Amino acid sequence: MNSKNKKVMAIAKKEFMNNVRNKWVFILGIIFVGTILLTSAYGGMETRGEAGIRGFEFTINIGTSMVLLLSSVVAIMVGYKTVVEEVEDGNIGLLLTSELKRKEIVTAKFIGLSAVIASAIIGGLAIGGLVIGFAASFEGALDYLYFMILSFLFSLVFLSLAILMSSMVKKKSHALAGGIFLWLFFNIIYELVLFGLLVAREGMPDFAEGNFEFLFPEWYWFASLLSPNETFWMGVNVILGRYNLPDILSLPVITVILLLWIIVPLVLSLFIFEKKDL
Amino acid sequence: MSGVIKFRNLTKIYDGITAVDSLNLEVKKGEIFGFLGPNGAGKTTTIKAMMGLLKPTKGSIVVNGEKISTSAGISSSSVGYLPEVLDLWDNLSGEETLRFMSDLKGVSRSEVEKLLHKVGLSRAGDRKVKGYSKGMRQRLALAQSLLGKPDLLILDEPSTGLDPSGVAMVKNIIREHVDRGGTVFLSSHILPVVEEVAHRVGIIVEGKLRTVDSVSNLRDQLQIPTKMNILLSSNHKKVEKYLRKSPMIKSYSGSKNMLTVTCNKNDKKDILDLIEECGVDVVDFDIKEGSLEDIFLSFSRGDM
Repeated sequence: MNSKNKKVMAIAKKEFMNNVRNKWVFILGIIFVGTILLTSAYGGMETRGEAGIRGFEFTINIGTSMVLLLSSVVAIMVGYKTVVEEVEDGNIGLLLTSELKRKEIVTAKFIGLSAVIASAIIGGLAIGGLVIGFAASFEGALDYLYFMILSFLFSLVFLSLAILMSSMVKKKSHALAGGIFLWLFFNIIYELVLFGLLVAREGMPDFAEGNFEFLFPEWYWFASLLSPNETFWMGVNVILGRYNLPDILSLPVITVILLLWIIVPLVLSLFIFEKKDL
Repeated sequence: MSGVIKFRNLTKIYDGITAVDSLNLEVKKGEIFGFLGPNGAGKTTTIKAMMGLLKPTKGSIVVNGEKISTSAGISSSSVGYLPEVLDLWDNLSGEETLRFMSDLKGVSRSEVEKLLHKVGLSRAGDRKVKGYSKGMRQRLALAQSLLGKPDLLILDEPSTGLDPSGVAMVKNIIREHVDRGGTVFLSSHILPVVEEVAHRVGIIVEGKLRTVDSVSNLRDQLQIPTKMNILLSSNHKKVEKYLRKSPMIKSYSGSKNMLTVTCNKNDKKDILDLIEECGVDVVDFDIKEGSLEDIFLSFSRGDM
């Protein structure tokens, strides 16, 4: 490893050490494991009439909402202050005595915080998956692995968006407000807007008929790519073989779209931060 | 001596307000340069521009032969920097902070223990920074600036929050640094410290660099009066009317046998002779030359 990479890794390690001790990361990791196991054991009990850990397909089905809501919160909590706090606290001047460029410092932070998120989310899901595998069955374990990968990528999207907020503003509170807005926008507002468009164009769907072909026409799927939440949800649908998505929206394509959702905000934050007066 | 820091026509304008206006300055190798100015004069803006934290509106800065830019920062690990506002990472211990900074600067971690000892934090090295007092945080911040024995130290208010022993430590560190060939750019409001250690000072007021010279030269140029406290053999009233008439005396005050006058520094002996001529003996006296504080106030009040 050359000297520059060593310095990048030093910042990444510091980010990891500083944030992994954050009680929220720990608590959310526990919540992840607990919720996965509880929903697997007790979810849908009213229809099956008994408790007990179910297989991976059921867990993915029921765990999707949890990933959408919780992992985005973890990522925002970890990422929103990472740049702006260094500026507010004066530490950015020290980091810049390292011969590293601003772009490299932000990239190092992204690497370190990705590791924190991996511990909370992949760690939580993996522990939950092992318990489910041993308690029920390992059938569908590969699907669960894809689900874990998509969940991790989805979390990184919100980390990247949080870092973008952190690079743009001058106060931590503004970065947090921006993160909360993005969370609300992608978790609630965009979905409502999309559903409103769907109803306006296609009429009120008849849920009782289960007419999903009608409910989700082709344009709806492509419009969904403009939201990381919807993109993640499409990925889960592909894993579970639900709905008839357009052929082009295969798992690799959806993975690439999620990667773009990570890369574009991150690259934007690098350019914004590079030009900024600190 | 070559210039380690060169400011050429540095100008920084924020939202139409000129924070630094056409600053030209060269700091030489091996020098302790005191950078002074009232609050809001542009000191921190100048230092931040030097560290690559701000993009100058006009002009350029060269440090150790390299032009500073915002994208690259100060691209030399031979610079130690102590910012005015620094709140080090709470969740790391003092030792972890210095180890991290060693890795970041690409220098050996073996210095960590010595530096903790040097700044008086040997026994607190394993404690998290969140438990440190303000003075301890400042000592740790100073220690990180010394990692890797940098050639150039840029210290913005290094004495903030320090007790008298801490202030003495800062002075020693600065002197030691220069003794081994280093250069120090020092900004501080603790003027006696600057006066004691700086070879030259620059005073910036409202964004403009008003003067650059040694303290003694500035004292001479500005004719800052010398203050004399004189103990007489009898009541000061015996000499009062003669001294008040003398053109050498700039101000006069007395109480019992004690007399205080201000005068030009070259008139001191003549004043003592004049007192003796009045038939009063001088039992003792002390002299206080014009201080850096007087010089600073002359510029910041706009007298100069």
